[in-house]
Amino acid sequence: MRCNRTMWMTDTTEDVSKCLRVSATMMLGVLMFVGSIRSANAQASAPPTMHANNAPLTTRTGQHVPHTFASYTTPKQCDQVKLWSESIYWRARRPDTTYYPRTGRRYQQVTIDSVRACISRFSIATTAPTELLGLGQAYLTAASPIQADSAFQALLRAVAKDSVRGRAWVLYQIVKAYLDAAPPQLTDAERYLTQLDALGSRAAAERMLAHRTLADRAQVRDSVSLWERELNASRTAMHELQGDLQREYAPASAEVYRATAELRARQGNAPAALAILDTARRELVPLRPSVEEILGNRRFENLGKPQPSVDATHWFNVGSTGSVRPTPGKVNYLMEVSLISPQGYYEAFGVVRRLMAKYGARGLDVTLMIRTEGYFRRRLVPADTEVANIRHYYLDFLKLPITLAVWKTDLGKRDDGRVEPRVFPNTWFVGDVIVDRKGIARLTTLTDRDHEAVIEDVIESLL
Amino acid sequence: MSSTIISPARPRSRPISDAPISLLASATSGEFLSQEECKAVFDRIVGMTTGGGYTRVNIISRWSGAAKWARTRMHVVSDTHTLYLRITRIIRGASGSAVTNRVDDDGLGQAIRDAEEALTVRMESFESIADPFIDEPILHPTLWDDPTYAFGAEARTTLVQSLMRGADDRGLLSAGTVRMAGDGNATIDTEGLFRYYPTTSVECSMTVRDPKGTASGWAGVNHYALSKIDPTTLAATALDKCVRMANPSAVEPGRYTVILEPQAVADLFDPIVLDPRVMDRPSVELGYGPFAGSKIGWTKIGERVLDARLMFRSDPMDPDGGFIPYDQGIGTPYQPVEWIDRGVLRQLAYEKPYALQALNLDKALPNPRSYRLSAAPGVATSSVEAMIAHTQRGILVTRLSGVELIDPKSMLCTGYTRDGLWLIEHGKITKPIKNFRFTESPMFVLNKLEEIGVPQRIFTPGRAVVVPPVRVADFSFTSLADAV
Repeated sequence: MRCNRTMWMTDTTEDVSKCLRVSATMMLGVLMFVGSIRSANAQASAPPTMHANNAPLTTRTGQHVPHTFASYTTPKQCDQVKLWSESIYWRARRPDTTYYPRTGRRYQQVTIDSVRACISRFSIATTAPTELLGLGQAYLTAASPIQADSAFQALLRAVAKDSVRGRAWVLYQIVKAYLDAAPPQLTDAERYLTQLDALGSRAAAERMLAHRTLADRAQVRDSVSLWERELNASRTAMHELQGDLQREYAPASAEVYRATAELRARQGNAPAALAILDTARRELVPLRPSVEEILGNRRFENLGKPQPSVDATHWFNVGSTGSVRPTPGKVNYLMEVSLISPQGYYEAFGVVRRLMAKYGARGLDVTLMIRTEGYFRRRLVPADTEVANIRHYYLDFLKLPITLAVWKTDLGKRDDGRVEPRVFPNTWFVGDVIVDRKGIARLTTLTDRDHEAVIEDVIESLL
Repeated sequence: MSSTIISPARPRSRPISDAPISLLASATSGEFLSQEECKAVFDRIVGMTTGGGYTRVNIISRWSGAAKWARTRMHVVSDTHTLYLRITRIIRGASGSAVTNRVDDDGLGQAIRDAEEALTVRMESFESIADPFIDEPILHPTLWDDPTYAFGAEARTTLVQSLMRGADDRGLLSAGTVRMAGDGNATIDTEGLFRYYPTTSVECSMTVRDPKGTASGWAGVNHYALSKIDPTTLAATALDKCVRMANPSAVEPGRYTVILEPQAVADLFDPIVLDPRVMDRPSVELGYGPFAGSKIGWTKIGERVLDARLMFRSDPMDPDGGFIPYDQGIGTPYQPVEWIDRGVLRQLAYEKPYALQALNLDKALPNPRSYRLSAAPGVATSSVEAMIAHTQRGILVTRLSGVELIDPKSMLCTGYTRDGLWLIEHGKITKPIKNFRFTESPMFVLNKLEEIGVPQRIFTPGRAVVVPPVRVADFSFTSLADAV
């Protein structure tokens, strides 16, 4: 999770909470790595020596081999093997293969073999109905779709006499299992979704959740028509909720509204996005604080309007266009970064590298904005030293093909001793933003693999 | 961040000599590991590691001599040798940890293999920084006492027999523990950190009850030196309380003026200190606990949170409440700190990353969980006897038990009184009363302060806590309790 100063500017205090917890945890991790105490050293110095950990650490056996997990007693446990196995596989790769592939999310063969070995001890006939869902999920992970479907069919037979809500919940779980598979199995998911829809208004909550999940998968692919279709279906089901179910599912309903606003923003219709959120606030009454958080709309406020320029005291790698960002005549991608939790940005940097490789020569300009904090990693440093270290880190060490805009912060102190910037520029920043050649903000997004397809398609359309 | 996985300890097998040693002797084996022995163990561990990286070893090596009795009969006199050795390995940011109580090659080797295997499932960090190690000095409180360390089994037996005598003579039952310990604790790592601090400790607690089980008295204290405590007086106190608790009456629960003896004050105040988030500044800024400000990102630092006569501080060099001057996990020094000064919140604890990011400081301020709560300088203090004399109608409380936190925002707690509860009327103790369940908050209680006494060391094994007796108004007892 990224954590940067502008998290404070959002209207989601939960994000702020996560930001502080994650930043504290990750910084503690950095501290633990060193395990020693530092004293203040305010002298200017050369950038610290950074090392890239290129050599993978082998396991005790020297290779990653399938494991039978003989002690596991349920199929669901076998399905969870994938988390451990993928983690082992990816942990020692460099530099940005630490994270899962962008789309498809196919498991490594060793993972598939491990899960297969684990579930070979189970069969549909001998598995209790309560474990059939886990068995089906494990079969999906093991790339055994026929057996997975058989398991799910057996599960549905087992609940055939249950209430409508009970059957609806099982169908939703099956749909979710197909959509959570790597890669997601859309056709199979839609097949069961049709059965879920056939249950009618008594299954409204489950239908809303299932269609919303499918819409999320469509967003990852930037499949706008599917995205729109599924959100429409989700909203239809949402409007069929009655009585207590409306209140119980208010946060989930807010998520549907927000997802629809995201879709409208993707379609370049910021006013429609804002209007949907207003509708949500009127309909989801009484408006609980948790629901209001979900509906926070600062990310859509600047869309369709001229993008304010980036303020910085130091510019690096500006190229021929000088230190004005967004650059007129180019498609600009503006992204705020922070060294509070540097590891959290690796996924984003992988996206940035691919974007520049694909679109850099065609007129894409990526600018990273950062401000000084008064320290670099584990030491207090003067602002000038910190600026030099920041430049070294992003341009020399990470070798990112970007423009770097650094704001040298003038730090003041509150009465309680906490530092805060006396002047805080770039207050317009509420998320990474794509700006077209005319300087109009077109999309506010997150830079990660889940949004990479959307970012690419928008940039492609603007170039 | 890579979190650690701890493997289970292996069964201990190392025979340890029973011969007591003096701190000043250069013994190669004894009751607990000496500084040289800890270093030797560390060097052997480093020699057995594979894959390079960083190694940290935390050693808690302890000799503990106890004498326990129950129902006025000696139950056990023991000498126990404990070794806790935690090995943390970090390679390229992935960390794994294992504990053991063995120092032979097989035991250490197994623990190292466990730690190194654990880290193979943790994510590595992409970057590392070459940064020179710079140590920070620690304070040096006196925490060692030769006579305490030399107080052997025979002496403990004789002492306990003397402690039991008074209750036995009165036909009452007593139970308790006298425990002495010598610790050699080390925190050493491959970056150059080396901390070793030998300490002694003594704990003495005793309960006296009547055979019917309706009256009970308790007294206890812990310190680093036997000369700092008076077991005989403790025994007499417990006996006296039990005798005076005979035939307790039931009194209506409600709100009373109470005089809390020091142990009761600490029992109520401890949730503030022991809850890991209440005094943690990042958690407080997120809104947790009574010190959170009115909005996220703010605390009550600079605001008055307790009675203006109170001071709450931690100081390793405290003459009555000294403690090991560094965090035994990673070696961060403890410095003297005034958490609350004249009722105003001054500081909250934080780690170094927070110090750098939020305060532009390069030092952590950890919470040692040992503390002194006292009247601020210049504030007049009172005695328990004077407090009783000033009370028109109230209750004298020995201690609280089963204290559970209900609401962290207000620190509302519940629990019950025990081991001595008396009604006060017109400035005198008139009769013992049955125990109550209370529902109160230390924040409320210490804002309804009427009188404050002289602080004294109380019974908190493993920590050093010094608190005063207090007289407070409107203490809430919500029901009678079956506690004795």
